[in-house]
Amino acid sequence: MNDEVLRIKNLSGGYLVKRDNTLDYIDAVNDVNIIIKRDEVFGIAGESGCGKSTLLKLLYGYVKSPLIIKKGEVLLSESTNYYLNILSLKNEEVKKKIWWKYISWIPQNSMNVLNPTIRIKDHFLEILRMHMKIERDEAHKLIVEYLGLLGLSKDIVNAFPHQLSGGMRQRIIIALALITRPKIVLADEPTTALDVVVQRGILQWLGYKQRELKNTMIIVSHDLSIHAMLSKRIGIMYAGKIVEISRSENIFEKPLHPYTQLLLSSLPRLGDKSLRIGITGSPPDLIRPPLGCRFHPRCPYCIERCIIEEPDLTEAEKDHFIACSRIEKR
Amino acid sequence: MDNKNTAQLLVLKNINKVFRYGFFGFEFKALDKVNLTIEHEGIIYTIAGESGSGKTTLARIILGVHKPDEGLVEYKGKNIHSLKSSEARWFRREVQAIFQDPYATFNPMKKVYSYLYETVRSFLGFHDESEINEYINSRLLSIGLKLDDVKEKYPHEFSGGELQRIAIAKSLLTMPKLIIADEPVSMLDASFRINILNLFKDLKRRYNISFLYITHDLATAYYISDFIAILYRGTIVERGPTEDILRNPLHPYTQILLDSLPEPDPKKRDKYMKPLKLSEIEEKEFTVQGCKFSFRCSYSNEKCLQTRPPEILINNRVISCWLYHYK
Repeated sequence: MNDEVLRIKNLSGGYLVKRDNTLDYIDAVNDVNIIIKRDEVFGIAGESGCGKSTLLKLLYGYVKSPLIIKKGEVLLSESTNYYLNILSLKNEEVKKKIWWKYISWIPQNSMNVLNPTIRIKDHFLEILRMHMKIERDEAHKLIVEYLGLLGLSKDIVNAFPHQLSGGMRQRIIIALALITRPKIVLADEPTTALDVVVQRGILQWLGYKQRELKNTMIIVSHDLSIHAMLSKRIGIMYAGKIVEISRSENIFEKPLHPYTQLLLSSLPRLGDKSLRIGITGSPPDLIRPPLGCRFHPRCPYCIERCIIEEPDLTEAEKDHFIACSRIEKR
Repeated sequence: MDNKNTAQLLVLKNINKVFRYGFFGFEFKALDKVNLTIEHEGIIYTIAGESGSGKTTLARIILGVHKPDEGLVEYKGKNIHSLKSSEARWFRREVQAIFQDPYATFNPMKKVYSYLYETVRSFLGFHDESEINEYINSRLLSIGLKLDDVKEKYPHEFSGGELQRIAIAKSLLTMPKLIIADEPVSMLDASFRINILNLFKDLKRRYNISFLYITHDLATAYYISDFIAILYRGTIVERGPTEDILRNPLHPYTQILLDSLPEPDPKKRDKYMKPLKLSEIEEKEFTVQGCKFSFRCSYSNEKCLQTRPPEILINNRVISCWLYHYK
């Protein structure tokens, strides 16, 4: 059986913005290639403005002005040898055929996306009726079960969103995204702004649900610690490019790309007071990204080739891909 | 100001702060009997707490923005909520603040330089423009910035990390002895964050400045601070040397907090994933008579619910928990 579930092929996209009568293109996602498998948690890590949330939007087929697709495909593998390019579908079709059933999305700051005028249970009932064809009584049982697992009492089904705390709303959004048992769950910073104890509970539940459903979870977070606790494989993004992909253990124990190495060594850790050093400089303006490797202006190992040539993502070691000219050469 | 060399730098004595809201005047105790002392200059003291712990309220009380309902804040022996006007100027020179969002610190329509200029002119009494510029430049240089790179720019022309550096430079202009830093790095990316923390350490070493570092992030607290107080729902549950408290937490809340900290190390995954039951944050935690953590604590009993635990001194730390009473 084919264990591919999503193939991201040469994907480029970004934002068209008008400034002083000129049209600028912000090159947020540039030539991304990833194969994502069934039954895995894939993490996308990177700092603010690296394009990780934009990538997630493209995977969801949520392309709305000013976001545009430059090129590439997002191929959903429905069965062996049959691929459906999400980006080739019309918005209406994606909404009807793909969302909730195949892919669900937990957007950033999602605690604010609930409709304030309808009760919690109606959020669930609508989705369950439309996408799962489940009727009221059965749906009600399912809702209570999900909420119970997330530590929420069954009384809150009758509450309106504003009556709940941010952490509770966040849990409801996550329950909504999972209750239709989608093949792929996209989560954009699912626990940012939550307390660590609540965060731990939610991440544990996400991990538990993923193992139960054996589906695919793609988690975007700037926080490398969250990836260390949850992701099986990780893609590191910098300035719109994927610079390194491998299993979690490889990323944390023997990172190969200079950016990943520097990023990890800048993290303070409990029990370790040794001097940590940040990365000099700032990420580039993605309207005019640097030529060659996009990290070269900040890279301490930069050689002439890095300035001229854009490195491809290549397999440096088994299942360990990086985009760095110095490693390719080895 | 005669006793300013002998008195402790900052003392918080039994601080209570109640916010009232709603038609029936629902009372909400933001801070409940908080005691804390920064003995002298050159100390980084962390106040660690999650959202709703009262840490920002505490910062505001120390800065004189809010008045406590009960209790006393003394800076170098003086009650900061009853300063005479000349003393108030002295206090504002000596105690500076840095906030979470550097973009909110500066007016987006004004060049950041105008803030630096005004601070020097009004607080230090410099009048000559070249003198002022020279002074600003020397301060900027001390933290790795140049006046020429800053002078003509507006806030949005800097990255968050750079602008936070400028906010720090601004706070240094008055040669403060104490800087209150409220979540100063939580909006910055990891690669900038550590530079700012290193700067704090460096300023402590070079100028003997003390910091009150307010954060929710225990890893950064461990990295820079000498002492730490763990705040929970307005009460300090445990305080003492950072090394002791974070390496060997005694209060059940500190223990849960540390256990729940995700770490950048996949080897710790199994421990992190050991199931934890999610519970609800309850409003009654703020109003409970006894220990605020007793609803969630696995050791709690009737006494914990009824009576507030006293402050118990164990070695170098102070802990508020009945588990350690008479031990």
